[in-house]
Amino acid sequence: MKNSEVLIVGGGIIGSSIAYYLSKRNIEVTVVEKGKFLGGASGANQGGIPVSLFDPPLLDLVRESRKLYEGLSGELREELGFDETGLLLLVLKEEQVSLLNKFMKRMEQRGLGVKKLSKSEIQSEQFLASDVKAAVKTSEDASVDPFKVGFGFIKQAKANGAIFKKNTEVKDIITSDKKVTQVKTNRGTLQPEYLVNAAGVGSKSIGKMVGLDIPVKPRRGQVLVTEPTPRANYRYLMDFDYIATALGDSDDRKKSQRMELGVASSLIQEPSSNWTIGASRDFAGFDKKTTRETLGYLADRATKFVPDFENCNIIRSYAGLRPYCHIDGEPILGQVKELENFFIATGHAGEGITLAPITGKLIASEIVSGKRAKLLDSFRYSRFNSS
Amino acid sequence: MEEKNKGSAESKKDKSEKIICRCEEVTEREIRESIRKFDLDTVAEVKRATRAGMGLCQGRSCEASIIRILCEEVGRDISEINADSTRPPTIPVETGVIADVIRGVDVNEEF
Repeated sequence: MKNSEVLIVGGGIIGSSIAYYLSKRNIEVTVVEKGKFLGGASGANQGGIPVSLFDPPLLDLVRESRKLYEGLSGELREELGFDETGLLLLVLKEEQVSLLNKFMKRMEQRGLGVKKLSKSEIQSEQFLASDVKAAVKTSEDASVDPFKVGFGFIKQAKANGAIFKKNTEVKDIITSDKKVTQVKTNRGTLQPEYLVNAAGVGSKSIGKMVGLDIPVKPRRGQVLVTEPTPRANYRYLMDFDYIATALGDSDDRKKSQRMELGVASSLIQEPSSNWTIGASRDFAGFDKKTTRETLGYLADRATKFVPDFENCNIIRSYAGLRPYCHIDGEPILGQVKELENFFIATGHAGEGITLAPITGKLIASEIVSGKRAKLLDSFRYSRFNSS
Repeated sequence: MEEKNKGSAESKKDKSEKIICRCEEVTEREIRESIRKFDLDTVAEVKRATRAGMGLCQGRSCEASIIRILCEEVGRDISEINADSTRPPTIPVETGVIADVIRGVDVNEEF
């Protein structure tokens, strides 16, 4: 194998994005992937780009990434299915209406576009259940075809000279003098000047090879896919419970068996007009199977918001393993102090698609300029060193 | 002048082209081009790159053709190219039927 200046470990959407932004700056880059490209979490997600749910500093990063998406179809010369309709946040329980109002105020304070739907506006959306007690429409949230984004990055990076090697597994990394010097794979040894660990749920074991303890574990997310249905006016619907399952504390999740399995609806109509019915969150090691119970809760919950789903066919189900930081749930990004030429880009959990463009751009910029990107400062590996 | 129409949705689906995946209308040319462009050698990769096999029939009609094209493109025997892993449901099932698994089970669930 040919030596490139930068070696990226992991051919998911994060590694592909970093490869694209580096190649755009004329940096020689090789991506090694132990399986197939986009074969992990990058290929098993709903393509949601949630924005309004987050707090700074993650919100700042997410918003910058969303901005990059606006020009990305043109840049990658690929129709990415970027849908800017926004999100409809839905409440079914009367007692959650005040919580939604509070949440809406918070979003307004952050300058996010939000609008509460009136009772008659909710009722006029015939596909929404009459049980929906309140609905808030946000403007910055979006969705995209994740495969188009991933293959778009790969296609353009290749056009810029990047090398992509699949079925290539990193077996060991040799360091000397606080630097990575050699990377041993099942297909030969490489001597890159920089190494980026973008191995998703595998990033912990890559970290181990250089003595870093990267606190990431696989969090499973299961999804159902419906047959195509007519285009809806609102194509990204979210259960208010999602705020609790995704961002709330663990007490919220003891309320019911559904909540324990982390099931709260995230419903997205894809560019192909199929709906994907998510979302669930559980920990089952590296087990990628879907489970009967979780799929049952996903299906049931979705029909509470959209009764027409009841008789709509499910054609497929899948599960993805997202790299989840079990210390604070936030991504781990940027250069590390322990090794001069080692960068981390992992822990994106459910925000891998959302954060792929900005991750690629900023990691590339840190490598090229040698300067720290300010937006990454809250997400560095050094935050885990309590000393 | 001919270049002008290239890439538009209309010209992409030239009527003389062979459609392999009828659900998602993916042509033989699109599949072969993706295999070459992205160095693909499995059904799962072709699916991700082209959507072939992602439609209503989940590849039940087109998977054999995709395997044959892969054999030709990568120069391998048919026994070396595996079918994609199957995921439930094996045939389309109504959402309500999947939901019935848990309905009436969770006593804490109010709705």
